Amino acid sequence: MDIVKVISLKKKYVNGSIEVNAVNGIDLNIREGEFLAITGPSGSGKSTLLNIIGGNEFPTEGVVEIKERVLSSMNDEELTVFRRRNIGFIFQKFNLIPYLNVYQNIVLPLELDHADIDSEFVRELIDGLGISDQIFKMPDELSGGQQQRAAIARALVARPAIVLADEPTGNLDSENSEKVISLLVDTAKKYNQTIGMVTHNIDIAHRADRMIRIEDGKISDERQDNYGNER
Amino acid sequence: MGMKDKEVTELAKANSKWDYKKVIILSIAVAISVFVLFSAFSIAKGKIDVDSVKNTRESGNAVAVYLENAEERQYDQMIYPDYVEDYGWEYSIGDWNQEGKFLASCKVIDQTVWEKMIKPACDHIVGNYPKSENDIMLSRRLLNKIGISDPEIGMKITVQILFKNWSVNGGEELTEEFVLSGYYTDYTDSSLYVPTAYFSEKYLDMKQIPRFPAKLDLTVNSQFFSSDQLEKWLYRDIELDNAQQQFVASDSAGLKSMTQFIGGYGVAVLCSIILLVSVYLLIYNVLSISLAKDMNNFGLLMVIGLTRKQLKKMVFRQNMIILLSGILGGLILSILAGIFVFPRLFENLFLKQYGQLEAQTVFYPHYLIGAAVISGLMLLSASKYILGKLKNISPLSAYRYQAKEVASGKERKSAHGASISKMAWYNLWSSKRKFIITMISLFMGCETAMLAGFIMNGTNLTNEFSQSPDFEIGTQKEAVENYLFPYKNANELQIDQDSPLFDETVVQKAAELPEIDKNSLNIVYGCYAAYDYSEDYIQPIENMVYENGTPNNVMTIQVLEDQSIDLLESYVKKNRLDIDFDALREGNGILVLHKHELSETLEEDAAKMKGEPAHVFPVDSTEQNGVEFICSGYLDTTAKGFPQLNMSWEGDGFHYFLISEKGYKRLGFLKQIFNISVDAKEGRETAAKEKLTELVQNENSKQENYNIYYLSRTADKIRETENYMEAGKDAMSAFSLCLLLLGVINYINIILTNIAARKSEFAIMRCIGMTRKQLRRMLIMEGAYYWSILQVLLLTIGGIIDVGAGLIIKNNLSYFIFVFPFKEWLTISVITAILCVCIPQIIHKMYEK
Repeated sequence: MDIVKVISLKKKYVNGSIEVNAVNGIDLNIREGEFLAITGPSGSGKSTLLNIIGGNEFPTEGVVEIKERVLSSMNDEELTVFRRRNIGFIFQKFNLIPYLNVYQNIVLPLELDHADIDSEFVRELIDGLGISDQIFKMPDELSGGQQQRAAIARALVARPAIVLADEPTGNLDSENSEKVISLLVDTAKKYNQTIGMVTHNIDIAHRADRMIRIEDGKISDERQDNYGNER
Repeated sequence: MGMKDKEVTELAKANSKWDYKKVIILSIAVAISVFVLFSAFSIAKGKIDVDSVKNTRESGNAVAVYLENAEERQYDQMIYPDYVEDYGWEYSIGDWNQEGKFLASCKVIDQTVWEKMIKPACDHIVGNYPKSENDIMLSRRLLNKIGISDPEIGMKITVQILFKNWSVNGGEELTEEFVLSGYYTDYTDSSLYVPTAYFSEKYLDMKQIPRFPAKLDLTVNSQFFSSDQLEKWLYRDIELDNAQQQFVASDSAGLKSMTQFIGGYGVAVLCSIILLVSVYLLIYNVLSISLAKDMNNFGLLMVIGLTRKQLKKMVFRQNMIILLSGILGGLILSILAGIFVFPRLFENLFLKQYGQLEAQTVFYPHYLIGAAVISGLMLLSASKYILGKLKNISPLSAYRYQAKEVASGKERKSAHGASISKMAWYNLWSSKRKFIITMISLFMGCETAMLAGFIMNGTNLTNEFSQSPDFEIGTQKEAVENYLFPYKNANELQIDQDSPLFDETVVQKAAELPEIDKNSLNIVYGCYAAYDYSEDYIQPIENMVYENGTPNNVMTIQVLEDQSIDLLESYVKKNRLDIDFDALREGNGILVLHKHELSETLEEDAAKMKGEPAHVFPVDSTEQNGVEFICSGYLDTTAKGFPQLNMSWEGDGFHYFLISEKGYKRLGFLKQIFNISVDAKEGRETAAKEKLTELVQNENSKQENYNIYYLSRTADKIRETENYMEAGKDAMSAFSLCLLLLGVINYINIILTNIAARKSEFAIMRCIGMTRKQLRRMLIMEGAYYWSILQVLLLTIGGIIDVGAGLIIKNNLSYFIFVFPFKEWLTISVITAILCVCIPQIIHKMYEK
């Protein structure tokens, strides 16, 4: 089943007299449980594509469906609620809320939804990501790797339809990058989580099930199976 | 090759252009600082100046200190003390009598006393102070009294003078004709009013009357001296010749008005400090909020090659740009307010009863300069803080500097999720420094406004009267004089001295009126008696100088009830005075009162009189055996903090004593009621006034030549002061608004910058799934927390500050009452509630757009 359907997507930015086609006609489907890597040079439109899929930006043309719900058919309130229940975000700069401890950051999407917290599942996530000793700490007491693991936990806690990761290892050293990616892959496998990840690191991109390459706002290349890894 | 000076200036200009938002905000902060400092001090000064003139006119002169019985030697010495501004002499020729009755005091004053001390208390002056031998100068009030309603310069006035100096006309009255050289309007309080006729120095010479001994009048060169301080210094610096020479100082008109307005210099200094700290916080907050950005910018410049010295120059020049624009803005606002707004505030303060306030503008250029200088210094000092951060930091570290928003190293042992309200609280508390500074700024602005309201309510002049009963009936001074000194006016029908002056039936009639609350009846009573001139205990009184009235040995003895004795005793204990209350209570002691009429030497003598025998004789004879008492001591009723006792004081020239009920029983003299006071029943005041007026008029009509009784109504006094207080409230409200404005602007500024800095945080929240409603709720909760904490601070710490200030003020103003400034608190609560809840949302909406 396709979790995400992107149909004829276009996004144009106008800066004075200059028009930029950040996304210039993209059709894309992401299957349930699939780990998709989106690569491409800087300014190719990868992050824009991710943001539109995540409902943080609106396309100039085209349609985005997640779980057969068209994002543009929802008003702001509906979209926000839909987003917190169905989309998890992992950012390059971690973006943990500075005045909440790790645990509170992780369960924040559930709190906002007034949803019941499945303590067992949260405990499982925390242990699986190796941050059980850090749950009471504040974000600025953690290393980059620990912060990103907390961010991963936050993204997964609501069991979203899809997790969107924008350069999740961009601010990490190679050792931590490897650890974080391994965790992301393992966790995704464990929970059959659909993931869309933007990266410019080819080695990391090869850890995904499928890789697409964006150039000038269009998909220029696509590889189905990941390099050396099987699902 | 280093950057040249001109290029540093260009860099400063370019930097200011690039960081225009900060420059604008800081310029506005400086402008507001200038405006608020100028306004607050101008309003206070304006009110105090207006009140000073009013107080001067009310007292009839601007004399700060006078020396009774001065010789030329003391006059010559007055040039030496540096705190004495002007001095002159005043000579009392005698009394102007008309048909055997006292009409006015006759005086000669020198030019300094006229110009510097009497003239400021008058207005509508026509003509000149007397110069020629037969010139005379009178007030319009006195002219009216002698039947001249339309005076003209040069008109003839016949005066009958009884000279003090018996060498003139052998002590007989002399009738002479004078020419009116000038007249004026005076506004002296009617209770203090002694009409005065002024004559020329040449008249004195013509009568061969020496100038000295005379009264020396002084002004001092500061409004900050208290009366006690002045007297102490003068006794120290001026050599006196005898015990009759006494310095009598009064608190300056400025000090009085400062006390009435804000409770005294102490409270004024406290408010000034709070104001200055608020201003500093405003500027400091703006700078510290942009600290990270500034550090990054400066770091970058240093990385590129700017030296620290050049950087300081650049910052200084940038500050100059900000200062100039800020000061200009502040100047414009201040000038507009000073010319168009403030005079309107004060024109109502000056009521017709105190004459016109000539050319009153409430614009003090030196305050404007001061405000600009202070704001500038604060800006420079706060900027130093930023440059101080650069001192030990490498250029690269400065470039990468990030303001630590969250206190690190503190875990939060909570394995519960954070609700919206919890998130709001965590956010506030995460940056403790910023939170505390915000709270302090808001609290100080609000608390000073509340303190101003508290002071205004407590120092309200109507408090003085509201504690008094509604009506008072007493005996008039003239009646008492005629009763006690029957030999004075042989032509008058005399009152029988075997009956009391105040008829008891009048008491019954007043109390039995249906409009009167019988239970409110209070009677002040005692008796009249006489003392033996030769007794030791009375010598201080005997040796004092009589300004008005003639020496006599008549005693007005009031019976003090136990409650009043207790009140007096706690005052005495607090001031460590030596009074024998045991003897007083037992009925063996008698207290001698005076109105600061004893010189320093006589005060010392009086202090030794405790325990001396004091015989009390019937009023008409000291040859009989007197009743023996002992002197319990002397008390000055004008001393600071002297309790409000229910006393009757029959004016100058009467010696006043206090005894207990037991003491009175021992005396067994004829009971005299001095005055009675009653309250009207609720809603029946007007009718009560009519009935009492009728009663008093009927009783007075029984006496042909003068009235025995007077009726005074507290409501009339309250009404007189209420109008004045209303206008005063406007000034105080304007003053409070200035203070509140600072706190509010500080808060808005912090919230504005706070929200700007949290844009990315809000974006992340929205990403994670916080709806707009939830975000709004979070901002409302943050505002609600600020507001709630503010209320707690206002009611706790604020309350302590208010009570503390009140206690200080109560020392200076006995009628000060402690009233919680409920209206002010409510107003502030509503304003701050709206601010705290609405402003963050408005600002967030602006940024969202």
